[in-house]
Parts: sequence; C-alpha cells; structure tokens
Amino acid sequence: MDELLLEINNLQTEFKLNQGTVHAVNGVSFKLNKGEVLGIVGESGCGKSVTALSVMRLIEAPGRIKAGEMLFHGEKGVTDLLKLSPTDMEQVRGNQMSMIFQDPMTSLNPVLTIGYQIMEPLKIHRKMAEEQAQATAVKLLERVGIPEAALRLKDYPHQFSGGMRQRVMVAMAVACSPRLLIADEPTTALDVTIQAQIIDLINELKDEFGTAVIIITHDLGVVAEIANQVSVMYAGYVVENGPVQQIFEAPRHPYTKALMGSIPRLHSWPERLTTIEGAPPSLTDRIVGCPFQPRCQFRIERCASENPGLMPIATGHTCACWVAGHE
Amino acid sequence: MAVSATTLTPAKVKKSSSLGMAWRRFLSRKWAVAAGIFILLEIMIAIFAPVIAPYDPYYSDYTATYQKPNAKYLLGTDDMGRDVLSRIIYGTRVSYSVGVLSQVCIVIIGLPIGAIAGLIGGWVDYVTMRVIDVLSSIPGMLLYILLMVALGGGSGNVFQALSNIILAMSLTGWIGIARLVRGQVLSLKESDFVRAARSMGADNTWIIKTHILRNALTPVVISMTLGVPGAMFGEAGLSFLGLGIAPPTPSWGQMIGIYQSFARTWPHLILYPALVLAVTMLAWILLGDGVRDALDPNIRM
Repeated sequence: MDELLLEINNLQTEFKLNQGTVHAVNGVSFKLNKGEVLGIVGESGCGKSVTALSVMRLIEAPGRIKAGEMLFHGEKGVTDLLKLSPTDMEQVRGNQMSMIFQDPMTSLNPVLTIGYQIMEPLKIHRKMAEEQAQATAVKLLERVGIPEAALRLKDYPHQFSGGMRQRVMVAMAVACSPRLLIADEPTTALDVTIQAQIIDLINELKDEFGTAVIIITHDLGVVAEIANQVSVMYAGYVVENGPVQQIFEAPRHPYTKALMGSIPRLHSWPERLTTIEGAPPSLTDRIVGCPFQPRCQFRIERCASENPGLMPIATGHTCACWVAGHE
Repeated sequence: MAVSATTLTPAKVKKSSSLGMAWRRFLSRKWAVAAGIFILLEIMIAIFAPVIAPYDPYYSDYTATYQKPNAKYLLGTDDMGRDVLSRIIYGTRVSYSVGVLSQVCIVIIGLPIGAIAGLIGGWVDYVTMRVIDVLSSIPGMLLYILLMVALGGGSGNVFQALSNIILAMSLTGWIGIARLVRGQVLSLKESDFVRAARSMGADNTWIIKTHILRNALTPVVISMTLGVPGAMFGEAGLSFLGLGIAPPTPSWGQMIGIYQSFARTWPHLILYPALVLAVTMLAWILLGDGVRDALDPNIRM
C-alpha cells in the first residue's frame, strides 16, 4: 500500500541577484507515497512555490537548484529528476507529473481556444491525432464539470469564468494521467464557494487516476480537508513534517503551534487571534541556528548557534526544534 | 467596450472563430469601417487610375495653366496646365505602394531581429538594443534624407525611386517593430501560460511557435496598420524636399512641394493634394485604431 513515489533529499534552490543570493529553499526533504496527498504550508516567501517549481524543474535563471536529490519512482524504475537532461525532463512534465498554477486568469493563453490548449499535452505526450485528441478533450472537460463540453472546445479563455478556467487547468493537468500532481495555491485566486468545488474536484480526480498530490497553500483549512501528510515550511526550511492529524491536533514545533493558534475557530471567540511577533528573516542572509529562533518564545541558548534539523519525535512525525525534540 | 448586441448572443459566440469575433468587433466601430471603405476606394482608384482619371496626368495644356476648379478641370490645372485631379489620382499609386510595401519590408526586417533578441537574450539582446538605441537617436527624417542621397535619390525611373524610398524607410523603420516584438517576447516568455505550457512538457520550439509568436503577432499587425500613414507621410516629406519621386511622375508630397511656391497667388493648387493626404492619413489612423480594438483579445475580459 505505502509505495514510495517521490523522495526529495536535501533540496537547495537559490537565486543569484545583484543584491545578493536569495536562499529560497535550504535543504528540504520529504517523502510522498503513491496516491497520497502532501500539503506544504507556510507563510508567503517561505519557499513553498520554489520547492514546487524545483520539483518540476521549472526554476529559471537567475535561479538554480544548487544541490539535492529528487528520486521519482516512475514506470521505468527510480530516476533522479535532477540528473535528467532537459529533453528527458520534458517527457516527464505533463506526462508523469503536472502542475496547476495559482492564477487561472493568466495561466491560459488568451489567443488559443480552450480545446487547443487541452489537446496540447495529449498531442505532445500521447502523440494523438486531431480527432482522438478532440474526443479525449471533450471527455476531460465533461469530467471536470464543464457543461456542453463539445461546444466549448472552440471557446476562448475570456469566455470562461475564473472557476471554469481553473477546471480547465485541472483537466489539462490530469490529461495524461500523471503519477504526481502539484497544485500551487490552486484556490487562492478564487472565491470561497469555487474554492471548495476545485478542492473536491482535485480530491475526486486523485482517487480516480491514482495520482499523488502535492498541494501548496497557506490555507490550513484546505490542508485539513485534503492532505494526508503536512510539511510546514519556514524561511526555506521544513520545520515540521507529519501526518495531518498529528500536525493539527498536537503540533510540536513552536512555529506550527503559532500557525494553528492564528486560525479563527468556529466555536470559540477569542478577543484577538494570536499573532507571531516579528518578521521572517531575510533570505539573503546566511541563517545561523534555527531560522525561527528570533521570534520563538521557547528558545534556549543552543537555538542561536545550531540548526536543529528535522528529528523524529513520533512515528512518521519529524520536527526541527531543540526544545520540542527533548520534551 | 462598444459591444454590439450580436456579439453578446451566446449561440453566435459559440460558433465563431477568433477572426470572426475580431471581424464583428471591427464592424461595430463605425469610424473604422468608414475609414476602411475609404481606403478600399482609394486602392481601387490607384489600381484603375488610367480608367478613372479624366485626363492624362502628364499632358500639359499650355493654353490652360493655373485654372481654378471648373467644370472642365474639376480641381483646376497646375503651372504646366496639367489636370490636378488626374495627378492626384495617379499620386495615389505612389502613396499606397510606399505606405504598404514599406510596412511589409519593415516587418520582414524587424520581426526576426526583435524576436531573436527577446528569445535569446543575454549579449545578443544587449547588442541589438544598443544598435537600436544609436539608430533611434538620429532623427528619422534626417536619416531618410541621408539614405536617399546615398542611394541616388528619386532620379532615374519611377521603380528605382520607389524602391529607394522603401529601402530608406525600411532601414530606419524596423527599429520600432523590433523593439515592439522584443518587448512582447520578453513579457510573453515570463507569462503564466508559457510556464503552464512548460509544466505540460512543451519544448522550446512548441512554446515559441504556439505561445510566443502567435501572441506577439497581434501588436505587429496593429503596428503595421498604424505605420502605413507614417510611411505615406515620409514619402510625401521626401518628395516635398525633392528627394522622393521626381517629376513628371506625380506624388502627393511632390505636388505639395512644387505647388507651395505658388501658394500665395494660387492657393487652390496646394489645397487639394494636401487635403487628400490629410484625409488618407486620418483614414489609416482610424482603421488602425479599429484593427487594434478588434484584434486585442483582452478588450472583452
């Protein structure tokens, strides 16, 4: 049952800018089993999206993946995605793994029809002929809940609403039944009712196609609903990693605790929501010690000098904290 | 913005292609349509000039010089007794060949240069842009004049003169298109849909072909249409200065240039060619605006 699909070890991605090097991802590691959903959460700028783009190898200059290992268990055995040539990687993208982006309003080409764009991955990877691709596109559109799909193939993106465009993006992403689907804040640009529909759709399709999903979000509600595993990121580090229930019910890392504390609850009305004092560190500086240490209320001396790194604290639950690790 | 009722009927929208939609948007702009009809008319006039012109534009009737508009000579006659109307009709040929052909040449030169600079980037882009900066720091008219003098001006036969003018304009005019295409390519390269296509496994050739060039083409078409009046005006300016089409071949600019010396005594001579030139330019600008509104798919977002 627990068959490994993706294993990321010590992934490091940086952006060399004139103002200095931005260390966006600093040694992220996680594992993802087949058919499972991993939620990556964290505040803006913590490296969630860069991690996702790194997995897809879509980091463009001035960024580069500095180090790491991305073992993908595909049809032809285990491959390190970082060692693939750009051409081989093109075979993987859209075929074995695909991605849904944040803003459906700009992710579709305005001058091409919806049909043409859905058929794109089918033609590239499945080498389908026009008619077959068209029939498949209609099926996909129907599957993601676009009414009158056959008629709408000839429509342009501007004739679709935001929610419908995101459905089209989902259809494109699952067109070749990928093993891994990465959704980078797929609901952020949508309004609440549509958000729920898109999440449900991803959830259904994941079971239908047996796809593993990495969902990146800062919406903890989305994670609670769909994810099995959660990775909490802070300043380019994974600070806590564990099954969704444990992360939500018994968070161990001070940052995760603070995050959970800042969610409004339905049945209690605190005077004010908890906030985390201070601001995240600048990613251009070399971080010594624990990245969260300056804002942490539980810090001890050791935190300032030594980065704890992820250590196991329960089965399948790791946490990067000197204090939590020794409780 | 001005969306006619027909474009809103869902059943019709569904069956339409993008060109069909653009065509309907164009038709909903009355001034652009009027300008388009006017331009079509002028093109017909240019093609059928020998049939339409009442007189031979080269024939001098020295017994009837400087005539005011009358029943026999509708727009009067010039200093050599030639029919002004016939000369204006033949002048259409020069203006339209220069206007349209120079834009075609400009795109042929500018589009690949801009696209390559934008796509490759790095030092290729840097060098191209510096060359463009240097060229665009020289006033356009000055460059035309220098090039025309270097190329031998408008003397010799008409085709030689025309190709010299078009060459001079293309050698300076490609800058604008190259810059436009480069900017488009740069922003399209970073666009979300190109990234989305990459995430679907599309390779560079596919992305350039279907996503970048297709999107960059619309502004090029718009810029071509809007560039035509500029080129016509450039030809008129050169001919006015005596560097363009040499007499006796009539051209609007050249007629204005020659007739302006009689403007104090016979102002009607300069009036008609200037009026035709002005109205034609206005028509092209209105058409260009209409084409822009029709082709820009973002307008109804």
